[in-house]
Amino acid sequence: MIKVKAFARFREVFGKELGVELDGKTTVVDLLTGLCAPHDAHDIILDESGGIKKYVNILVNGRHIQSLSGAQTELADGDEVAIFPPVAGG
Amino acid sequence: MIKITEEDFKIDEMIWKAKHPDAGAVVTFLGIVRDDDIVGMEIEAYTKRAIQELGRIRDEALDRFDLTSLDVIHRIGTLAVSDNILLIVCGAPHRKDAFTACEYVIDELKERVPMWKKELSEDGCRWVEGAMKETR
Repeated sequence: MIKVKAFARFREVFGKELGVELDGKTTVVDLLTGLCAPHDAHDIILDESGGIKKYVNILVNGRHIQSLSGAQTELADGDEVAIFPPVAGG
Repeated sequence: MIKITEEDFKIDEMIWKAKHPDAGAVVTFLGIVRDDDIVGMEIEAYTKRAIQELGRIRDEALDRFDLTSLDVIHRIGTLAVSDNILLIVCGAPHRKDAFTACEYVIDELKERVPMWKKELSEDGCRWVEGAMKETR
């Protein structure tokens, strides 16, 4: 099971937290593609070629995917994946 | 101290805590809710990671500048116009380090810490567009 946490306007699309069962080898982009379909969120998260849009931040266990293997980062049981738009605190 | 809380904070207490025999200056930044034709604001955080990132920013500031203390409190939840959002308190032997460190912390916070603001108006609500810099 992967724990997915969504924040700000992405929370309003996916819900605050959901559990996703792994189905074999799963990458971040696989996970997002699977999540977007039932929420009709493809245009919000993914670009025309199926990649992740630049303004979508993804952390896996607290590390940005750009410091891992990007959209092809492989997920393992128990991982926590956070999805959020550009930050705006202060 | 790094803190994210729904509670309001007491500015004078935070300044008092920054007083130190080696400090000659205490600079504060207080962010408050501006009335951009809104009635209030909701602030949301990925709290665990926001505290972690604020801690990194604090450590960077302590490395870069000559400081005696650095404290940050950021509120979450629903706030009204003029409510306190954020307090940064920098103590230093000399004013230049205190001013520069305070500016460094607010600039980095706005670009790196996973927090978001939703403006609430009588016509509805809208998310404030954030910075594009990558959060680590």
